[in-house]
Amino acid sequence: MSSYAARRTRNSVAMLLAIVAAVIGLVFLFLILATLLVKGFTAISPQMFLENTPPPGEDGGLLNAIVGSLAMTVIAIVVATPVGILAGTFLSEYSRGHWLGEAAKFVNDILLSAPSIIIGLFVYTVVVVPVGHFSAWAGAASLGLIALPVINRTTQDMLGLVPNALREAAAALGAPRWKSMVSVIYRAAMSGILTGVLLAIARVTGETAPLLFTALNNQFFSTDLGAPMANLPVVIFQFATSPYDDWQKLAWGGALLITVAILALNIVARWVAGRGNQR
Amino acid sequence: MKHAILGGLAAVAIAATLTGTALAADISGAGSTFIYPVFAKWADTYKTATGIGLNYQSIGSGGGIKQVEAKTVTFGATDKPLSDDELAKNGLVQFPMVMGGIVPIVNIDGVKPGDLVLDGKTLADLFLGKITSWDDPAIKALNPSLTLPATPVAIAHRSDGSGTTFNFTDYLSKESDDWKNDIGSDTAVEWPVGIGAKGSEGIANTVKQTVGAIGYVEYAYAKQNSLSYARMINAAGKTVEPNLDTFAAAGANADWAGAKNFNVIITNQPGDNTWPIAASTWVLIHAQPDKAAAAAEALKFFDWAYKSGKDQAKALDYVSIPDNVVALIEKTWSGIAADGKPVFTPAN
Amino acid sequence: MTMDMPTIPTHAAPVPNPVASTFVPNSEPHPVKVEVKDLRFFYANGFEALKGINLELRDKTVTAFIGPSGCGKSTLLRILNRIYDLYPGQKVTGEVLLDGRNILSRSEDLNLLRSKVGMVFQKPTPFPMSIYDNIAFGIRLYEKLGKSEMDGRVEAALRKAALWTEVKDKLHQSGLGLSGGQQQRLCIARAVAVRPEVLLLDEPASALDPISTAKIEELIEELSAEFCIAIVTHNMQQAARASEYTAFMYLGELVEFGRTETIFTAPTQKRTHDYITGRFG
Repeated sequence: MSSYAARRTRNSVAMLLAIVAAVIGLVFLFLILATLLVKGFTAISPQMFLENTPPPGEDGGLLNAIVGSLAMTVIAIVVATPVGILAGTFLSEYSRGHWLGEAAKFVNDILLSAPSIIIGLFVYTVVVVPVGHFSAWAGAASLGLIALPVINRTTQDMLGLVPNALREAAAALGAPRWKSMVSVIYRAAMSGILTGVLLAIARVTGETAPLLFTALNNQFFSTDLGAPMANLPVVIFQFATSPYDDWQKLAWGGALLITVAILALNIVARWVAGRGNQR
Repeated sequence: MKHAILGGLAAVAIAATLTGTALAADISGAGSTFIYPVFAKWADTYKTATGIGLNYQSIGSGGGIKQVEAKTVTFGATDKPLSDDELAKNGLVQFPMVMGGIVPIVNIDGVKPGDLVLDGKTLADLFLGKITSWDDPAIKALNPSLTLPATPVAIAHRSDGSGTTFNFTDYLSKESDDWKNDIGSDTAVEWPVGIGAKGSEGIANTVKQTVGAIGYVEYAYAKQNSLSYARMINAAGKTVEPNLDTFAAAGANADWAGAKNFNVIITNQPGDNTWPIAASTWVLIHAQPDKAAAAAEALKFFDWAYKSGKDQAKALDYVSIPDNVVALIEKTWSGIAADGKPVFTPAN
Repeated sequence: MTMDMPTIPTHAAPVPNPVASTFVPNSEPHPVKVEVKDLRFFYANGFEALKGINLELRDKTVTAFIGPSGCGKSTLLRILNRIYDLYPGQKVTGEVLLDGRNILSRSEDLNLLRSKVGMVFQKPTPFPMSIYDNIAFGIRLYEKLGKSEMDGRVEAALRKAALWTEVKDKLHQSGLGLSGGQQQRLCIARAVAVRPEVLLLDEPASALDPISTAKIEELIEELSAEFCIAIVTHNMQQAARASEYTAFMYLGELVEFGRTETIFTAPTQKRTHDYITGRFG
């Protein structure tokens, strides 16, 4: 009986600690979101989406930065997605047990957790310096390199979750391996892989350091992918650390915008993943 | 048909991308954070006037030097001038673009902006950790009419490398032998005491939140945040307020003509009305630019900024380079040449 | 190709048996479809899972494989369509003759082989696509059919698997939405849709409830009119009810092989007797 009481006590203590830890985490998350909402909400206006970043003391918006961020993210994801999915497929399905595959998996996992500034420096060294100027291409390349290992790894994981029985079932009908991959295995893993892509987008959307080294930033609206391009994270960084109120306000607006975008992406990712599980 | 149209569009887009890199859109500069707001303002006005966009990004003076050396930007900007050797080694030309002031900011109960008076020696002793309380006799002697509390002094300094730190420590070195011998002047130094903060905004926040704190920021931060600044006793022994006039006096009294490569640090300059912790930002550009057209456009822009950008600079609390110094500067531009010809000759 | 395998004990006088009551023996045995000769199988770690198996499967006949877990019965089944080839390192020796041709040869086109030797697994494995596409998937691999023709084939397959009436109104809904028993019948329909010659069933009812199991067994009996069927099962009643021949395997060896009623009523081996009477396994 006493040992039962002791166990109950231990259980309650552990439970309490867990709750406290959860509450601490949530409180800070809530504080961050609340600050963002309070400070960013007043900055959100149609103007923010219609005008370019202004010099201090003038009205303006974030149009050039929003368009720049979108453009570079789209290019990065469009390139990284097929490469990442194919690489993940190879590592998960075709190189099992081979030392080269295992080595590639290991390197990919290192890339996955590599500080993004190192990716930025890499692209700066191999693209920006030889070409002789900063460019949106370089920015997209660094974002793509950050997204690539995420998509690669998720693809590996999601293909790993597809039961072997499904591969056997397709093979047992006489399906060649490629047909089985394309028509059956990818379908089974699709919601998971899509979730990975969405999370990769969320990951690169907030990256500042690699863009500073590659796309630089641009105070003007530019669609020239060969020239420096504006982007939200760097604008937020520069404006937030400036002495001017109007710049700081725009920085808060931009920060709220990015946060809402990432939040939305995560919710969509969950929804997609959830739909995949239901079926 | 549809494919043909799409193909055509793609071809046009690609062509635009490729040629775009060679056109005026590629005039970019990077460096000093201090000069960033006024460059942004100038570039905006200049684009409206001429259609030519000049993209300047604040990545720090050190970054600006690196990028212009790597030729990834048309020009760099730095708050710390390069030595003659460094310029020669990289084939760079430097000239001052704009000036401003650095002000000590404090957070002492009962002390309003401009109440406190400090001199260079006392400021150095504070940052050396020799003066630890605000009711120290040295401070009292400078402020006989002020009731100073016995609050401990808290030093706030930059944790990142900064041209502001360079100019501030240069001033302390000129005023205090102890500082000169023990600490010296640089963009980042071994601070004997205090807490580090990132950027001027970091210093401003730290000082705002810490009673007894003293830090140093660019004038715009003190002004925009209504921080409690200190007045300074200058080299002529006069007490001066930090404002555009006293910054301008520092620039006007500096010996630009006698300095090679405009390498003058305008701290502790002579003159009754001179703010002692003034600073300037220099532009760095290649003497033999690879892209002559871009360099010419940049020089054209600087010429315009010197002559037509004065009011905009003033509105943002910057001091323009005096006309006589601009004339000196533009004379040196004949050395910025491609194929043996100056890339740009300003009209006078 | 004739029936002269010495390992098959031919039993002339079947003893009436209540367990095997549903089974009506054919008056005349069908020709041999698959012949297994001295088959040995080694896992990647060198373990010999099959130790020289000899037997034959007759066309339009159900042959059941019984035996305790790990006896090699599933392994044997997985050799017959060479599905084991999906995993590297495993080795097989001996011969498996399908209509007299050795399918273990290196030059065998495995995809073509598997289109002739279909397989249904223990757990239902519907593909993540519509019911219709689940069936059409296999057909499209080797045949190019018009829409109406394809519709006919899909319907025929579903009817054959006794699933048509249940799904005919939701052919374009996901196959994953069906119940476990329906999913398994879908898999059977999918397997028969490609018109295989041999059908391998690896414990097809073990994951299902009794009603679904009964349906599957009924189905197997109907399908035996068309295909050579090999079924691995844990359930001895099932083996007795549904099969014409039974192979009892133990520790990688074929202990006894013969007509089902013989195995269940008058086994010649003591181990078979012990197993079917529940002494072990």
